[in-house]
Amino acid sequence: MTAFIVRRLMQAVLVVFAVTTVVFFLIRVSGDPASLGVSLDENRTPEEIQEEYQQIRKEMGLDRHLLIQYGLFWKRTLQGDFGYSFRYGIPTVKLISERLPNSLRLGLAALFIGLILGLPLGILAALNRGSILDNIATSVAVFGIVVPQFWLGIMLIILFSVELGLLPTSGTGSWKHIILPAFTLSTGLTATVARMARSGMLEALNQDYIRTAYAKGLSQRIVILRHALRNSSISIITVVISSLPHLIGTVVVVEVVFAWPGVGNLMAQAVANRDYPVVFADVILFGTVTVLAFLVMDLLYAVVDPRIRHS
Amino acid sequence: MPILNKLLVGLSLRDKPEGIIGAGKKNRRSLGHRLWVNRMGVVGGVLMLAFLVGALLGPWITPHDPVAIDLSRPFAKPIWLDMQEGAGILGKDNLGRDIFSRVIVGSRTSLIVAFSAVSIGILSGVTLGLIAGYKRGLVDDIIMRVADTQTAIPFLVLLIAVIAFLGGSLMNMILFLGLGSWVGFARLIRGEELSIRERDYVHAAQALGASDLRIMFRHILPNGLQPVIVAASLSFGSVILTEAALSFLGLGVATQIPTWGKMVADSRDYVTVAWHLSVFPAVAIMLVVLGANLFGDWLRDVLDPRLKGKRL
Repeated sequence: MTAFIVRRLMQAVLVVFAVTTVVFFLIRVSGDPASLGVSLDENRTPEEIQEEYQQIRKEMGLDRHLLIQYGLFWKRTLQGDFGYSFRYGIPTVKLISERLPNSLRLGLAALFIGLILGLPLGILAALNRGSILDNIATSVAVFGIVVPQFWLGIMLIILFSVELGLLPTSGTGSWKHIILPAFTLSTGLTATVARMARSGMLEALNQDYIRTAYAKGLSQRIVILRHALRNSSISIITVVISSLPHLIGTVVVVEVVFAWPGVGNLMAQAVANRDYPVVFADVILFGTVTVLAFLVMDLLYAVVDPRIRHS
Repeated sequence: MPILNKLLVGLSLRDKPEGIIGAGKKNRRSLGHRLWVNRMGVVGGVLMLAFLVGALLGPWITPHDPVAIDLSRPFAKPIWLDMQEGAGILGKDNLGRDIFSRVIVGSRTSLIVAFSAVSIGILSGVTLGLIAGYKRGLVDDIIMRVADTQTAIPFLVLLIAVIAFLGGSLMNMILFLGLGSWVGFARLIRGEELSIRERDYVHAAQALGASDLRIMFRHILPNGLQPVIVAASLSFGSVILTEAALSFLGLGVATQIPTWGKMVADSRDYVTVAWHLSVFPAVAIMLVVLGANLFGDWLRDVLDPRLKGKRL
């Protein structure tokens, strides 16, 4: 077990390392970040501008060899120093930590909606196979796959904010603000959960232990919740966590549509402003979160299923 | 071409090879009935075909010039709503450009990107997967660990960063989306290969002294290609959605040709006065993704009936 954990931990560290390295070199080959930091005031002479440019290069360490820069970068990163935002002039870490709670709130709300809509839908569809309910569940699942979330968000704003005036169009504040963005974010998840719950239930319902449970005289509710659902829960947890990388990508889009002040929106703005320390820190953050989630998932499996930790 | 044969049988356009059980019971149903049984696959195929035609013939079949500006008639509603003459089937946008023509032409970028990206994904994924599954050992470990690593990366986020820094040229877009999709194909073909490589005909080929390359591409690949083809049509849809999302964020292919994602993005300022600006490009996105998914589901049912009703 210990060997498994150690191996898995090393793998996780390696993934974060790989992502960071790729992004570091991509940023370095794509342009000169120092030129972005120079203020181009009309009253200044070219010499002054040149001087400031050189100074910024020196401050950022861009005048040194690429590999040394890379080493220094790791030194700073391990100390938790991700540099300053070009646009806001404050530490990147501060900027991100201010917005992270908003994104977490949005993500958890979407997860909640995805589960409370997707699970019952999938279960009911499996129990009433071929019925109208099953068709509705299938349609919801298909819709969740094909709809572009950026567009769905706009439509929901038109309907619920502009036409009906029930919910605010964007921003944060009250609990009402989170409903539309969280729902938009949850559509893909709802579809995935419903589909997995349906197929998981269908498979479980054919098993002998379900027949045994019914034969013991247990009520349908208990058989479904205690036996069938519990046995398909592993596959549901798996798809939820596996869809995390995709969900994170969608967070960026949804936060932009609803002007939600989270890390995704911050990233989109940073990209538009070429505020590269922020983009960089954001990518590392998202990568690390995903890797951690996968790590936890694997460790949980190993606890549940002895076959995995011994393989 | 065993796969082509299977497809034709799946569409019931060619009679199934008769086994002992089916002997003497010829399946001669009308063409209409055959198509009805496979209606979802037919719908998917027709949708894909329609968008393919739009992408290929785009500028020549549009009723109007997709970039021609007509300021006398901005925001004109679709003709079937207002009965105003010259409004076009799907209306006009803020600059009086014909939305129907723009949606047709918009299919070009999406489909070029999706086809090319998926092709790159298949080529790289299948090659790497074949090598991993055939060589096993260290090579296998390295390739599959790289695949694991890539799976754990929020791809859209990385793509946003990369395209923001390297620029959203058509080549970049295709390349990165393609490299983003190789993992699935590699895993599938490797999985197939692990069972195929133990079959007698592979051992026979080895005994005859066939080269590794020949065994991989001549003997293993054709027999393991079915799940790859199915996965390709499903990944086609997700590439279209990713491209549209990037385009919406202003990171799409920089081109004069309108793209669906950008049309939706541009329409945001006018959604309260003119809903049709954003609805129709989005419907186009949904239809083509739906088409790809239906087609993929049908392919899977035909190629591997064991998986019927399950999703990959």
